[in-house]
Amino acid sequence: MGSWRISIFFVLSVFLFYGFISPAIADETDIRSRVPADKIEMAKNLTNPGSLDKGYIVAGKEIFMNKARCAMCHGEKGNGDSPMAAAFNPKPRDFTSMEWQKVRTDGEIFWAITEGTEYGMIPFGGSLSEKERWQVVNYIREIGRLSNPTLAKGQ
Amino acid sequence: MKVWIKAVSAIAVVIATMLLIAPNIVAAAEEKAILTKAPAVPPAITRAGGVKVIVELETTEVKGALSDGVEYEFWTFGGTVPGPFIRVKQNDTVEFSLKNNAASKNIHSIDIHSVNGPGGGAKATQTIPGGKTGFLWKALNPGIYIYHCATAHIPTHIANGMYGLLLVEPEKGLPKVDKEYYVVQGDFYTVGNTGDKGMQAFSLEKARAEQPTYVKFNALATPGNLKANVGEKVRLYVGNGGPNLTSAFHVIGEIFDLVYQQGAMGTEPAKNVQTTLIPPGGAAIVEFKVDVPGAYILVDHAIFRAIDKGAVGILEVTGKENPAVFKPLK
Repeated sequence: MGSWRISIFFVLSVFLFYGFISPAIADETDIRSRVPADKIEMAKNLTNPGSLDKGYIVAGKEIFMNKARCAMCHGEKGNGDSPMAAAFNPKPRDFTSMEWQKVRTDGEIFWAITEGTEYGMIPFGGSLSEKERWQVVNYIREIGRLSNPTLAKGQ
Repeated sequence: MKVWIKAVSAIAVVIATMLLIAPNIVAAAEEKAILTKAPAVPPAITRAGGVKVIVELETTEVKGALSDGVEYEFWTFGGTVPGPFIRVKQNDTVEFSLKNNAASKNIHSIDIHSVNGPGGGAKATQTIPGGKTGFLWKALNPGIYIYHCATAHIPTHIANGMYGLLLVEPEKGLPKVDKEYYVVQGDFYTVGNTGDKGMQAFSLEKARAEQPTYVKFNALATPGNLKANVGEKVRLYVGNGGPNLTSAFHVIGEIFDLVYQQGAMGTEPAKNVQTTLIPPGGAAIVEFKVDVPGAYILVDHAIFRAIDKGAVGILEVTGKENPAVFKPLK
């Protein structure tokens, strides 16, 4: 076999191994929706009943920090960093990410809180009321605004 | 016919009718399951299946001793590891509820392996601290089953002690024995080495590497030995919470007369077994008659786990010596 053939064989082998066979390595900057493809349209169309309501944000913070223990995994700052976060792959969402905040709709966030996701997000549909879940959505938005002043100006 | 004869006849008919329908009244009734702490087992169920049984568990996070001088924060069902033993009858309908103690730092839930339904109840029972959830399920398949927490990160919840056993007794019940006990093996992962004293934190790194620092039977349960008398038939319900290790369960100095391997019922149990495999998330029932007095040691016969990491329990058998079966030579 010629040396160029050996090189091509080697390059292809490496590509096949790392490209297809090796397990998916979670990319922490991956901001793709974790809502299943067949649910995403429905999720995006959900309407936030209290998006401009400051009371929702205050109540949502209380749920995030205490009642629903969201901070145990997502961190007190909501940046996806906590002692428990180390156990997850992919990591819990970083709500301070401007890129993530921009592409995600309120409905998708509400859906993930309600139903959970296959990536480790716990479903809260049975333990938080619909209103409480929207309150958490609004607090998650507030985390984004506080972390990204440009995001706040755009709203 | 005299009036009093008619009256007595009418009353007799009413009483006879009530007696006839009484079993159905009982079957339609509701009862609260008797839950026991390991190593105790609730009494056999003598009634027919088809009853609505109420089962309520509470998840708690409690500090306890993993070994002498070694403290650990266990996550539990009912404050013990394993959690309470639950006993129901085939065809019973179970109204199950899960409370999560308000002092818990984490959300908890349950996946009961005897449930035919999504997640074994996991999605229906994701329970916030101070909250209560539940679901209804029918016990279709007899056998001995593990239950465990199924809240992300699931391996961490199981590694911290969140498992127990549930028995679905077959319609005709199990054969009578003299003693029944409840034992569950679990592997534990501490940041410190085996034997390091003081409060020990959970090591995710060691758990992922499947290198436990402790392997325990009934890690946080009622202390003391199992007991039996010479000549008695003993039944052990043995589970393995894992999260990682498969148990090579053996009782030193005994042979299992019967083993319901992997907790299976409806098939002929295996006979004359020395050591039986119990995978994580699985269970078995072993039975044996004790012939000779002495201390019989329960082990995981992957023996470093027993001698060096703690997977040891004792069955204390008292009674008359039996030289026809065993006699030391002078």
